[in-house]
Amino acid sequence: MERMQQIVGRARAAFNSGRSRPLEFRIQQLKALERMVQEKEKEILAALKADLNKSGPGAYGHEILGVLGELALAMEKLPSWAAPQPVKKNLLTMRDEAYISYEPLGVVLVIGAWNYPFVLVMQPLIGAIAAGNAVVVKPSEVSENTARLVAELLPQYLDKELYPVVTGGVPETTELLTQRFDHILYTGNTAVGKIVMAAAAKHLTPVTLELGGKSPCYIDKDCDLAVACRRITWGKYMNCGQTCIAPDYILCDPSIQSKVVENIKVTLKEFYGEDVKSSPDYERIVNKRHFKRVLGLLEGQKIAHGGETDEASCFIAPTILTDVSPESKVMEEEIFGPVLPIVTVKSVEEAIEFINRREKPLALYVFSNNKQLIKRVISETSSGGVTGNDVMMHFFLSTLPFGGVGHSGMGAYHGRCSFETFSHRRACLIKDLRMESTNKMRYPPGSQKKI
Amino acid sequence: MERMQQIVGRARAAFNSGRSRPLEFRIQQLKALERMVQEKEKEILAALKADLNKSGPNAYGHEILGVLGELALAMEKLPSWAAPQPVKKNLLTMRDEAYISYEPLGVVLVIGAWNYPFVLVMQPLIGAIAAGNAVVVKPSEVSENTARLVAELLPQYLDKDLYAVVTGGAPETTELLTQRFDHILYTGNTAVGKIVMAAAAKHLTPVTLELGGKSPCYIDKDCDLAVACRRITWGKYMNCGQTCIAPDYILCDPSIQSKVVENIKVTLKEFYGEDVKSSPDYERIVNKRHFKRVLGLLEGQKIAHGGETDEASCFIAPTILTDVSPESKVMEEEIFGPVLPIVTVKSVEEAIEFINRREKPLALYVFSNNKQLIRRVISETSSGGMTANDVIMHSVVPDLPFGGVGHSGMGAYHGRCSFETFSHRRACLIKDLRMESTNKMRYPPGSQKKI
Repeated sequence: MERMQQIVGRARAAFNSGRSRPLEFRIQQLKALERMVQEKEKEILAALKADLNKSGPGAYGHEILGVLGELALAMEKLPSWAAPQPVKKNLLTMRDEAYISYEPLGVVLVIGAWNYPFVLVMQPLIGAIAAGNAVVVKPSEVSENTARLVAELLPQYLDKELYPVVTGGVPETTELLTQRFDHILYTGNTAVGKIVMAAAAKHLTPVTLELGGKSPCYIDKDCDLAVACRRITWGKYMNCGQTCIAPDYILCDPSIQSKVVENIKVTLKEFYGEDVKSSPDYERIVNKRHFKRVLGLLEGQKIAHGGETDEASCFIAPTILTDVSPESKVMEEEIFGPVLPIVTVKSVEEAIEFINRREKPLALYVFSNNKQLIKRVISETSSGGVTGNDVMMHFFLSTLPFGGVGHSGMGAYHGRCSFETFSHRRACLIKDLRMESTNKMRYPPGSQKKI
Repeated sequence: MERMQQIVGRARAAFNSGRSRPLEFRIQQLKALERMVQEKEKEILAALKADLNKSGPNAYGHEILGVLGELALAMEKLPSWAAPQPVKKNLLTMRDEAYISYEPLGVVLVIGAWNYPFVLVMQPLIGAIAAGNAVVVKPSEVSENTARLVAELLPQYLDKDLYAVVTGGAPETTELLTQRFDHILYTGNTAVGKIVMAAAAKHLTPVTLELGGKSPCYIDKDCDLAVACRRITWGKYMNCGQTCIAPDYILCDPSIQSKVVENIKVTLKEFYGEDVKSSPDYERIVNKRHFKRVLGLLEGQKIAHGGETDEASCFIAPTILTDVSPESKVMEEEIFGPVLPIVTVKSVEEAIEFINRREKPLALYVFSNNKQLIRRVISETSSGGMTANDVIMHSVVPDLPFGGVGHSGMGAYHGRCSFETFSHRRACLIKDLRMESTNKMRYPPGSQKKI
């Protein structure tokens, strides 16, 4: 579509004008974004409610707070992030200037996801702007209210040509991916991740892919089960299970399985009350297609708790499955819903083997009073990130890179890592034209050199 | 081919055994590589002579010295590179352990190039071993003597299953690329780079692509021309121009063009004597195909110096072209031969515009006494790396990342950067099961939270 070509072309021309490069400009744009988030908070919360039934507190805590934090961090740190980084010199370069220069890449594409539709376009956008790029933003069409809002708001606050928003579904995204970008950050699923990377390969565009997987959660017998289960419940059922780093399934000894179930049930009542459906804090499945998908995973399973559904409102109650078979459907794909399978294992060795037989997940969780055991699980497995004795919290520390490995993704962002992801680290060596005699050894004829 | 599957399968099983992970093992393998380079120096130099007519001193200086340096660096620094990297914590994580853990990726594929056939497999191999991976090495079949030697030597010194060598041409490489790897580092040209990335996309394998381009060399009127031209001559005609970071073409004011030619001619005589063809320090074009390709670039050009050729020995004399038209064939593709076009420009602005109209090169060079001018050229252009007042040298500073941007590549390596390229940076957060009361704010019901 000519429209895509024009939008990207305008962004490129705007980038080539050089105006996105001065730090003052970037900080001014980030300040405008901050104003946008503060002034339009009501509208943003309303869109999130319309898309996913997120409550005010839930949406604010999970989407707005993080964005404001990332903006404040970027504005404060940008001068130090963007400064040339001197490197250690060797004998040959003692008298020279040797440093790494952080430079904008050019025109960056950010493709958002529907589960945290605001933060997942905003956080990459912040990093891309901070690094001095032009940015084309493509919010997920599935979270259509947030997509529409982002498309309305960004041009009201930001430089319109440098930071355009493109809306639409698969055809529009496919068209967009034929254009040439200098970096693409995609958040979504593994299958589409491959498509994005294949499209990027045509232009030799580097990619950051934030994908998913089945994030395992191992609960050791030696741990405070009540606390562990409360934390797991929080992370699992947040956003109705539609969180890329939600604990997907539990691994634990058969002897504690029923205690785990009991503790989660108690916590669920604490969180959502007797009637989950009427709790303002419990979200909904984003659409009918995903509702049916998650429902299908319950087939043939032993439902220890929950299982109630209501298609009209895309409601699925917080559900726990016990004695789940590793070969069942619910253990094949990422659940991305409020269904928590428990698979029993007789030892931490078995848990580690189980995890390692599968694709590397985006996150991994292990609960234990025994730090040695935690360190062992970490060292004998691989995952994008890990939190021990809690879930998700590694995501919220901006000094930790957030990203996957293997099928859960490549590259990372958040905080300074975002800035570096959207920058080119250019090696620079500035020498002198004097001291030419020191170069004698390197020139032919070779008989001058001793071997 | 089943053979490829078996080789990669064995490497993966060997990796899964865990034996490549302990630092002691990795250092032991690196020590063995060091022994190999020292014990088999004669054989290595002989192979390089057979493949590219590299003289002993040149081959030692350009291929062996660098490898020994990289080995020594890796063995010395590995404990500090591989150590968990604590990160700054925030209020929420004050009492926790937060760090980045460097972990092996698994099975890495290293595809070498023919122009520096030894160092371009060895340097990536060193980084991949240091990072704890299994490595499949695919040397370029074009430099067949070195390929054969690498295939013979590595199994004599290294763990045979962990570090496999695969030889062959395009069909074998294509087959190899259908296998699943955890990282691929490819050195070569842009066209094949796209093929490698497309193949990698099928498995979501991250890639480091060290490609090429036309590295421009701007000579300012205000500079010591004799020194500048000596340094340029060295980097341009080294390895008969077959260097990915060779200065591809010169940009300078018309008023100094003939002085540039004169200075280069003087230096060429210094380096190679009256009869270049009989200088032991002057290499040959690698094969007939490339010989014909480079020869074709001379068509219709004004040859200010050189131009002599001998197909039987793939000899092309050091050649300088003047008043070259930007639209001519020699200004289209990367020359990768001993032909140096001079394109005249009337100002540094014109030079910058010229450079920016083209694909981002792997290297950029600028010669001037004026540091301001140098900084201006750097800030108004982009390239993988750059050296001012010399050529090539940014690639030998171990702490500078070596890599391209745009069509000249993605990712980087050398020194610590190699280790990080072949590692997964895993975000780790270890919390406590105590202090659960501090988490109260994050749990539903939302009415607890103040917005």
